Order: sequence, then structure tokens, then C-alpha cells
Amino acid sequence: MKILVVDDDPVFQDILISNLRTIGHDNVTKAASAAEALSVVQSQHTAFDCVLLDIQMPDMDGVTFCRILRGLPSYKQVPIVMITSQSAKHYIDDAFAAGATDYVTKPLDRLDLTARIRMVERLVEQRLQVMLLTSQASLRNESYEAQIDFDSAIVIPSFDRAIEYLALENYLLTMGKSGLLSVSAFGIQIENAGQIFGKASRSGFVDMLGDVGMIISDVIKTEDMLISYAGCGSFVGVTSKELTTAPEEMSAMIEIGLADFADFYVAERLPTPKIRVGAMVKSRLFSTAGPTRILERAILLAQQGKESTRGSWRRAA
Amino acid sequence: MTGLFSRSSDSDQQVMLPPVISSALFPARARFCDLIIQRVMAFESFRIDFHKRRDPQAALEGVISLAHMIAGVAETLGYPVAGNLAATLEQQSRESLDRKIPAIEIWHRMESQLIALMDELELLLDQ
Repeated sequence: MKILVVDDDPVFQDILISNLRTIGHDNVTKAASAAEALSVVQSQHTAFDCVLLDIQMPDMDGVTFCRILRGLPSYKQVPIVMITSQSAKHYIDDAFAAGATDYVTKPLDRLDLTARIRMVERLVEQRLQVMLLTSQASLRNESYEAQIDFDSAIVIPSFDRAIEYLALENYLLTMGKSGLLSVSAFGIQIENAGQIFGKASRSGFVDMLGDVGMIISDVIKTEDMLISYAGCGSFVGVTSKELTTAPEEMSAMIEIGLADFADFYVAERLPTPKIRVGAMVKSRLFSTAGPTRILERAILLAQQGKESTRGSWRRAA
Repeated sequence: MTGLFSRSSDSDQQVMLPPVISSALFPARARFCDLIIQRVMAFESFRIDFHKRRDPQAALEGVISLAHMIAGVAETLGYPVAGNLAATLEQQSRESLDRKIPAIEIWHRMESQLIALMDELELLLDQ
């Protein structure tokens, strides 16, 4: 795996590289600043498989650089693991909102780093498999999108506001019990996603998700939240702030936005997506379930059609 | 190295690392030690800047930046006391800055912490 380490402290670079070496990673390039890293990235013929990025650096910070990297086509899906000694929540929020995949804190815990790198290895391996299948399919003149499953939490190309579902899970995992208590989640379900998946081509299905994603982005543009596509036609949002738009209002606004696409769906002989926004879910104080359980509950409620009662939205948030 | 200030804490308790990790981290540890003099001198320079009222805000940010670097590595390299002192210095200074407390006031609050950290770093050199 080809790894880029970006940190302004040469001692920390040494520690990181030494730890990476002990778990079998020798192909590591280092940069002491975001500017140097950008120059390294631009000089490479092939993208790095993983970027380990310090948040607090002079001149350009890691969060800004992460956002720049995500803007480069070849780095849209490359795992970016942020590293910092500051575990303050606003840094975590900013990092994930900028497109970070995961987050570890300094001082470095070797076991923690190993676990994160193993997760990155699995991600890289999955992406290599998809690339291999894609090239094989294109050799056979088949659509590469045949590889997309209904339940895949894919990255929707035109849904820039979204972060990877895995990154959203990692965000919750870094919050700790008390942090989780301030967080709420809700699901947005495309009720007839299964039907559309059955009738549309895979690219048509992804385009439909992109349409819905684009409208969701527009509806939530003033809200401070992280949102992700979780597969099976389910989107899930996480916020620690009070939302200004109620779910029924949000649902109606998305439907109105989708009405503009109705002619297109008729022409394609596809059903227009129907949207349902689920009830707001909060972590329970004495719950023994894992931090990501809140996402599953939010998705389930949206899928089951359990919407929040009027007014409960703001109270819950 | 002769201490610039009276030493305020006991000798840093160096933690024995497992042999494999210890040898793997040797280059990082050597580099950390090489940088100690430079960092103590930088801290001292920031203190002089402050006492001569030459941009205390910039001096404080310089201290925070260096403390951040030390906090991020010292414990991993087996120097937990230096690591904790640096982490406390960084965290408390940042929190004070976030609360819009003037840099001069933060300096007055944090200077003893900075001196303790400098003393610890000098002790590492003696070891």
C-alpha cells in the first residue's frame, strides 16, 4: 500500500513511519506541510492508497488540505486518516465534514493505529477488486455498474455534500459516551428504491440517487450536519445542533424538488422516487449498544415509516 | 546543559518500552533528543520576546506550536512527564485563547508550566 504521511513534526513522522513499518508498510512518502504534500500528490502518476494527515500544521491546516484533496478526482475515495493531539469535537466535525475517513489521536497508540490501518487495507482491497471487475467487465463490453448491489453504501458521485458511510460510523466511534448524548440521527428513505433498482440500469439507479442527494443537499444547505448514503435507498444524517426544518417539511421539500424531474422519470419509464423522512433518534444514556446503533435505528425508523410527531423534531434535537 | 531556571520537578521517569518497539523507535527518539536544545532555546526566545513585550500573541502561539509537537510524541518515546507537561501547556493555553483571554494574561498563568517543561527537557539531556 502506497501511503502519504503529512505532518510538520519530523519526530512524529519518524514514529509513524516506524510503526507503519512494523505492520508491514514500507512504501511511505512523507511531507512536512500541506503545500509540500500537494506538490508530492501532483507529481505522482498514480494516487496514494492512503493519506495520514495531521490536522494542526502551520500555514494550511490538515482539514483545509483534506478538502482540497477530496476535490481531486483521483482522491475522491482514497482513505484519509486525520491525526492530531486535539480531540476537541469541533476538530472532529470539521475533519469528517471535509471528507476524512477516520481519525486517530496523538500520542499515537500503536494498537489503535494498527486497527485503523487494517481497516484502510480492507477498503483499498475492496476498491481494487471493484476496479478489477470494472476492467474485466469493460473488456467483455458489459456495464461496469453491474457490480453495484442494492445494499451497497456507495459514494454517489454527484452528491458532494455526503461523506462515506464508513466515515460517518467512524465519526460516531470517536465521540465517546458523553459526546454521543448530544448527537441525533434521522433517516431519509426512498420508499420505492427497490422498485427503481429493479427497473433501472445500475447507472440509472445511481443517477436517481444523485438526483435525490442533490435535492437533499439543497434542502439541508443551512443545517449543520453530516449526511451519508447507507445503501438500500437510505440516507442518514447526524447532527448535534437544533435543526430548523421539521421532517415533514423536509420530506415535502424533497418531493417538490423531485417533481422537477418527473418528466424525465416518465420518459425513462421509471417511478419517481418517493421520500420519507424518519423520526429523530438519540443515543440512550444507559444503552449498551455500540455508538453506530443510532444510525441503524434512524434508518430503520425511516424504512418502517415511523415519522416524528409534529414538534418533536426540535425537542429531540 | 546548565539549567536556565531552577528545576521544579523530579527527574523524568523514563518508561521502559518493549525491546522490539524500543529499537524500532530509536531513530525517532534520537531525533527527539537532538531537537531538545533547539526547542528549549526556542522556548527561551519566546519568553524573551514576551518579557520585552514583542508581540506576546505570536510568542504564545509559538509556544503552543512547540508544545503541541512535544505532546504528540514524548509519551510514545517513553517520556510521559514531558509529554503530560506539554499537553497541559498546549491544552490550557488553547482553551484560554478560545475564551479570548489576552495573551499577556495567559502568559502569566502558563509561564510556570512552561518553565517546568523546559526543566524536564533539560533533564532528558542530562540522562
